[in-house]
Amino acid sequence: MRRVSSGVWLVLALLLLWEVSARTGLVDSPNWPPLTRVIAVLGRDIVSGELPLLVGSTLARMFTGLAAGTVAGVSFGLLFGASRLARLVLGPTVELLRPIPIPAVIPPLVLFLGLDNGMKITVGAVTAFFPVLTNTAQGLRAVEADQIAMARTFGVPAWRRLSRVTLPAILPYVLAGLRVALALTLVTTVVAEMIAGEQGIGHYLVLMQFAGRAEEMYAAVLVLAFLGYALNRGFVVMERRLIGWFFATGREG
Amino acid sequence: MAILELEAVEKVFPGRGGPPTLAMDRLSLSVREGEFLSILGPSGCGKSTLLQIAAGLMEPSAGSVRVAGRTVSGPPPEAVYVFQQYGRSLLPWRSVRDNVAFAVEHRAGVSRAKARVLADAQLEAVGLTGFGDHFPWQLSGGMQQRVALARALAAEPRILLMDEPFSAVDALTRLDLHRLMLELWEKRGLTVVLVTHDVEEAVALSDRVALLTKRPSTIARVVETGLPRPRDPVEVRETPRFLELRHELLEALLTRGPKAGGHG
Repeated sequence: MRRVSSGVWLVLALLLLWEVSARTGLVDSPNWPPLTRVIAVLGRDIVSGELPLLVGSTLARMFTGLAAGTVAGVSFGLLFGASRLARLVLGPTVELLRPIPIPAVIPPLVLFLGLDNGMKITVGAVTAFFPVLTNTAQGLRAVEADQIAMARTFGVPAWRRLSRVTLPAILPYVLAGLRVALALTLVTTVVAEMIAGEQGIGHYLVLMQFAGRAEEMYAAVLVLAFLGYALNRGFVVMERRLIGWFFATGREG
Repeated sequence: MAILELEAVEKVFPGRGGPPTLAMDRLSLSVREGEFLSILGPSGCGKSTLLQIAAGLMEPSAGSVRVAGRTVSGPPPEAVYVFQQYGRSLLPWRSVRDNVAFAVEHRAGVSRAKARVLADAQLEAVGLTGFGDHFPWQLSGGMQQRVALARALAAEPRILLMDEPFSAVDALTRLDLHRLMLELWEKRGLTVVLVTHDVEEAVALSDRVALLTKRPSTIARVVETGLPRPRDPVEVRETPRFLELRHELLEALLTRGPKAGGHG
C-alpha cells in the first residue's frame, strides 16, 4: 500500500509542478495554461455535454472496430490452430502484415473508405485483429490434450467439445490479446480521427491545437488519459470475474 | 463372458526423422465382465497406449478391439477412461459439481438441473458430499481424483479403464482410494481395467494381473490372484498368497523390464 500511495504522491507533485510553473512564469507561454484553468474548462465542457458527446462517438467507433477485429481474430486463430494448411498458407502473409504500424495504413484506407466511420472502424478492427489472433492461436496450443480426450471418452460431440472445453480453456489467452487490443485500438482510433475527417475527440484535439485554444486542447488530453486508464482498469475487473480460475491456478506464470 | 477383447493389436508410431517404432506387437487380451483386471508393466512399456486403444481414444495400427461384442471405432459408450493426471482432465473453470455433471449433461433428456442432481449423488458415493460448490483446484490431489472418479461413475459405464489413477497421490491417500475403488466396483458390478506399475496395488485389487513385456509390448502372461472376495485391500497384504504373488510378479518385472524408465 505504501508504494501505491508514494506513487500517487508523485502524480500529485507533477500536477502541482504544472500549476506552479504556469502561474509563476517558470514556463511563460500561452500554450502552457495552469492546470486549474484546464480543469475549469474541462468541467465546463463536460457539463455542456460537448466532451461527453465527442468521447461517446470515439468510444462507439472504437468498440465497433474492436468487436469486429476480435471476432475475426478469434475465428482466424481457431482456423490457424485447427489447420496446418491454414498456417502454411496464411502464416507468412500474417507475419508480413503484422509489423506494419497501423497509422501507416490510414492514408491508403482513406482512399478506399473515405473519411468517416467506415475507415475509422476498419482501422480499429485491423488493430485488434493481430493481437487477438496470435493469442488465440497460442491459447489453442496450451489446451490440455487430456481435457479434450476426457470429453471424448464421455461421448461429448465435437461441437460441444469446442464450446464447452476448447473455448473456455483459451478464454484467458483471448482476453490477454483483447487487453492489448483495447489499448492499441484506443490509440489508433484517435489517430485516425486526428488524421482524417471531423469526428471524435481526436479531431477535436487537433482542432483546438490549430485554434490555439490550449485549455481545450489539454482538457482533451486529460480526457484521453483518463479514458485509457479507466478502460484498462475496467478490463482487469472483468477479467478477474471471468477467469478467476486461471489466476487461482497460477497458470498465468 | 468377455466384455472387452483385444485381438492381435499392433501399434506403430511414425518415427521423427527415424524409422517407425513398433510399440505394441500382436497383443491379445480378453477381459471378463465384472472382473477387476490390472495391467502391470514397467515404465515406458506402452501401458497407457494399450488402455487408450481399448478406450477408443487411439486407433490401433492393426488388430481389433471389441467392447460388448461390437468393434470399437471411437470411444464406446460402455467404457470410460480415467486419466492419470486428474489435475489436467478436470475443468478448472467448473465447480466440482459441474465437472461431474459434464459426463452426462450433453445427453438427450438430461437437463442441466438433472445433471447436477446426478452429480451430487456421485459425489456422495465417493465421499465428497458438500464439496460440489468448490473448484477442483481448491481440493487436495486425492480429492481431485475422487472428483474424476465421480465423474466417470456419473456416466454409468460398464467398464472403467484407469490409467495409473493412484500414482500421483501419497501412500495413505492411495490406500484410501483403493478401498473406495473396491467398494464401488463391488457395489456397481463394474468391470475395471487398471494400468499400474505398482505390483502391490495390482495384486491387492485384482482378480487377474496381466503382465506386459517391454517394447514392443505384448502380454507376457496373465496371473489369477485367487485372493478372496470381498477383500480389504490393506489387510490382504498380510496373507501368504499376496506375498507369494508379489514376489513372483516383482521377479518377472525385474528380469523383463528395461533398466531405465520413460513415460508409462
